[in-house]
Amino acid sequence: MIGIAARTLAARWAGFTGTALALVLGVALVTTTLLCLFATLDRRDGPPAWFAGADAVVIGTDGPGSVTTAAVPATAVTRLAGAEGVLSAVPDRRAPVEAAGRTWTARPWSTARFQTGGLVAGGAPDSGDEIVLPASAGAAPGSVLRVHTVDGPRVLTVSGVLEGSLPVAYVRDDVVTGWAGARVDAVALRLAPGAPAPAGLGADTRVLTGPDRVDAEPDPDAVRRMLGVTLLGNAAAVATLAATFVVAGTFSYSVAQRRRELALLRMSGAAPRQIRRMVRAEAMLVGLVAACLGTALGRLGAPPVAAWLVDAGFAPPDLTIRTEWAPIAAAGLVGLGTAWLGVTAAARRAGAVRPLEALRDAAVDRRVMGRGRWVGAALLGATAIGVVPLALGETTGVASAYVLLVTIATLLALALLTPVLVPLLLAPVTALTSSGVGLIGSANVRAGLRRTASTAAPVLITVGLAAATLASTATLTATAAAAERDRVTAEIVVSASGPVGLDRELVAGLAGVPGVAAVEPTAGASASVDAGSSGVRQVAVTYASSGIGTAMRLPLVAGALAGLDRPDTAAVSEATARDHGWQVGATAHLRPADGAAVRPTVVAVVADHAMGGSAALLSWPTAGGTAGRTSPDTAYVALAPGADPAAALRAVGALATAHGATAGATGDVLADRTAGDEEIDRLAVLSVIGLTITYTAISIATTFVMSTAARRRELTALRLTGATPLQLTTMIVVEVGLVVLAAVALAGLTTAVVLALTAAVLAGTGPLVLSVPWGPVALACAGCLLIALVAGLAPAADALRRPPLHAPGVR
Amino acid sequence: MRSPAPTTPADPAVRVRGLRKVHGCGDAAVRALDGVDVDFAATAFTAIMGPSGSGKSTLLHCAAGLDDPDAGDVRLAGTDLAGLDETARTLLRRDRVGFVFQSFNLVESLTVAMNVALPLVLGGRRPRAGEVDAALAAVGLAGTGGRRPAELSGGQQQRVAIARALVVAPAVVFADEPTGALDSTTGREVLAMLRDLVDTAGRTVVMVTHDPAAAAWGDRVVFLYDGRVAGELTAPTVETVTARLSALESAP
Repeated sequence: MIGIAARTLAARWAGFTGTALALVLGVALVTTTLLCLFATLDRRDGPPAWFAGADAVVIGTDGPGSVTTAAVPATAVTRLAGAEGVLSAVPDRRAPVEAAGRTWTARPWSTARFQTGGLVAGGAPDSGDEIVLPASAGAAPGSVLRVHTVDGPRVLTVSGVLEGSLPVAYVRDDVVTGWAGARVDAVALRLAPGAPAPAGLGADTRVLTGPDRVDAEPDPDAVRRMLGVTLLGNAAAVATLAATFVVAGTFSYSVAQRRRELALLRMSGAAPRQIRRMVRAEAMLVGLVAACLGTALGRLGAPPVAAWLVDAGFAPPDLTIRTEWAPIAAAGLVGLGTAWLGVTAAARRAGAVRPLEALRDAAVDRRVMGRGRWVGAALLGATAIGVVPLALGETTGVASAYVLLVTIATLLALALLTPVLVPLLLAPVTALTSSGVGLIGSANVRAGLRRTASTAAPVLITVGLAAATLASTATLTATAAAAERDRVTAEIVVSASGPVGLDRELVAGLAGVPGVAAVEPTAGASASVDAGSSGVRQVAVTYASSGIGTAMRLPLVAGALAGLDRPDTAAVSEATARDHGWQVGATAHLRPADGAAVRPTVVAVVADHAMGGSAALLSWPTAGGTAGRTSPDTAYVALAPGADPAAALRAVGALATAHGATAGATGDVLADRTAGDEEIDRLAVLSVIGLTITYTAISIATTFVMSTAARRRELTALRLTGATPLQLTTMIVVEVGLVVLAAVALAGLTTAVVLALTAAVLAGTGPLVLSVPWGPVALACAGCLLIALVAGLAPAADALRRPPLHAPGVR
Repeated sequence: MRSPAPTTPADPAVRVRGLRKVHGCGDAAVRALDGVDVDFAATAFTAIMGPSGSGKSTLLHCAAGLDDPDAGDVRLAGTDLAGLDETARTLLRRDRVGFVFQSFNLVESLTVAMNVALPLVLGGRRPRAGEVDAALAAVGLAGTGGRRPAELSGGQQQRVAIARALVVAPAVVFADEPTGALDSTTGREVLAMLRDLVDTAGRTVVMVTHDPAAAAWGDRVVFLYDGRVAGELTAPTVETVTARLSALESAP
């Protein structure tokens, strides 16, 4: 049977080319993404630099498997100092500073002795206004430097220069403590000879030795890495899913086409099991070839893709692709698995072919809707409906993931139902068609259900995915932006432009600008919340004070904001209060990503829509007290009644610029922010749309190539009956147009459902701003139509050019 | 061999003069038609016979405007084919010519009724009520309009093809081995139907066949040999046709 499979492949290579192409592309994409993922996740190759001279380093962690670093708990710091075998334990504190046009991590001079490379000139920062920089900064000892710190701009003198180019600026220990607060980022240990590294410090610490010590260095590319991993993960998932569908579609089409051939094999004594094995063997042979070609292609494609990721800011600049066998093997296996999965339904169908079918030949597809399609559609439909309540119970951030799930499940369910839905949708169009050619075209659409479904399904998925995701993302963003504009009452927004944030002098100075009535500094952060059975959840929190009410509207459900001036207090959103039982007076448990766990008392509950996506407002003293020092990233400036807004904005702007920040009128700043968010969303969505369109093209083209022979016979018969070339062209255009129209209608239906769900998710967050990005959606429609037209007209070209005589089927 | 003087009734349905056609080129060139002059009379059933490769199918294709001759003129239903482009020829064929082929050439995705109505629909007019049913009834297939071609037997499909050929009231029906794919009983039914078209409905039928029994249904048989007309028979019988054919095949 495998021999027959190989010979069938050789004889019918045209039909399998599409399948192979889809698989090769899928495997290549998975190979490329996995190689990039490996390179991205492979944090650093170099040896430890910051703690090269330490025997061990202790850092904090959010728990096993967490990639984010946390502060070392104070108890651990105390215990380490007196632990057995520990000669010295030096706490490392870190604060961002800006100098010489770049960002540095300021660290205590006492940790400098652990780094690779010693002083090459000058000496220690003995005075509070001295600084030590690496040689790469190009500053000589004695030179004077303007340094932007969290306290404000300072003029420091370079006291010494260290070998190398680490992005670290050393200052006197107490100066860093002043900038960084109580937080300890790491503890460097010198151990007695032969003494083991200390253990038993608790689950929220990690003791690093040997090459692992590199983990104690901050990862400057963490955000980029995460973006890249998300993007690549999405691409790999879409590629695999789409490849499975194309393979399933093309194989089932090829089985349907070869019913007679299969029946002949059955008549000559092949058992159903043998037929199944033969069809599977065909798929596996195609899969094997595709796996080899695809991995090779993927390996070749990885470096340019990596370069693009770096350029687009989705990956660290030092991303290098190496030939790693694990991802390549994994991608190859994905290809084989995809082929296996894709062929399953087709093989079952092939095994069910009865020998007598060899005697009949029908070009009309009667039983296209097999049981598999019904069951699959029902399961997917149930999934979509089942996810809806989950989405409704969530905050918008989490809900959008559920909305995407609903979108995909709905689209796939509708795609499986196309053989039923397309004729149903086209019935009114057909009834209205009076022109003869249109009549024949629409009859063809309904009679050639398998071909119709194979064209409509990929178009539906492409257009539907594009329209639904783009529209729902745009609606989410636009509604959030509108709510934000509606929420913020302060006239001016001052934003930080770097990790140093808004320094203390700037915040103090803003209050003194003429016309300013109130200044409300805030900082956004993420925090983990123990959500009981569902594990640890990441939420957004905002540091604020009781005056936040002067900058934005915060309708209270319970309590009062006045309490936010005390340490260890918080105001939470209504949803958070409900989910965790954090009513007024209760104690909340949170762990901000930049510090140790906090247990603030809830003083107020705020309406969900007024929180701008935050789960809680933590009082500023909470940030300063236990979690290390955090600088504000945004300050809301409310003007006094009667103040000249233009003059105030000029004055605020001048002050902000002097402190490395920017200021703008609230409306402008929020609009810019929205545009930035939309740009990232758009890039991510467009890359997915690009991928699906590629698969649509392969899928449609394959279907048409495979149906060419049957198609030619049909076109010849029509030509002989008196159809002019123009009429045939019109007929094909009508046919393709109707199929694409039906698919677009179904995609529109899906989009409407998804938008309704999005609207329901957004209910209560303020006025709904429905937004559909028509441009990209129209582009997706036009792309699909073009592909379908080319694929539909290409096989007919021959029949159209010549007199009907030479086509096959005519003697 | 001398070309026999063509019988020329007042107005033949098809008039062919000096027809030449070469298939392929260079060494592989085959002279399919080498100066053929022939008329196919209206209201008559003419059979074209000849050994394989004698050019009989090429003659039919050229006479019907399906193929371009290299030289010569074809006048079909009063219209000169030379100078007509493909679209004009298609329109002429659609309105004035009916085809019946060995391989039926029905459109599988359309119902039997739609197949029959096809020439009308392509001509831009909706079939009148009962028009298609009448055409189907005329070939003994009343009530099958809603079925698909694949659900019918070979003989029934050929009769659908005949109904389709007749629905536009063509000046000529060209039949190319119409019984080639049928058993002898069904074949006879189809031939009787073609005969009846001429006798009762007054149509013109031109049929290519290699089967003397089929040719004997005609009013007249034209023999082709090596791309030239090699004689003809009127009022043929199976015996006379067979005898003439074997004489042709054994000729040097």
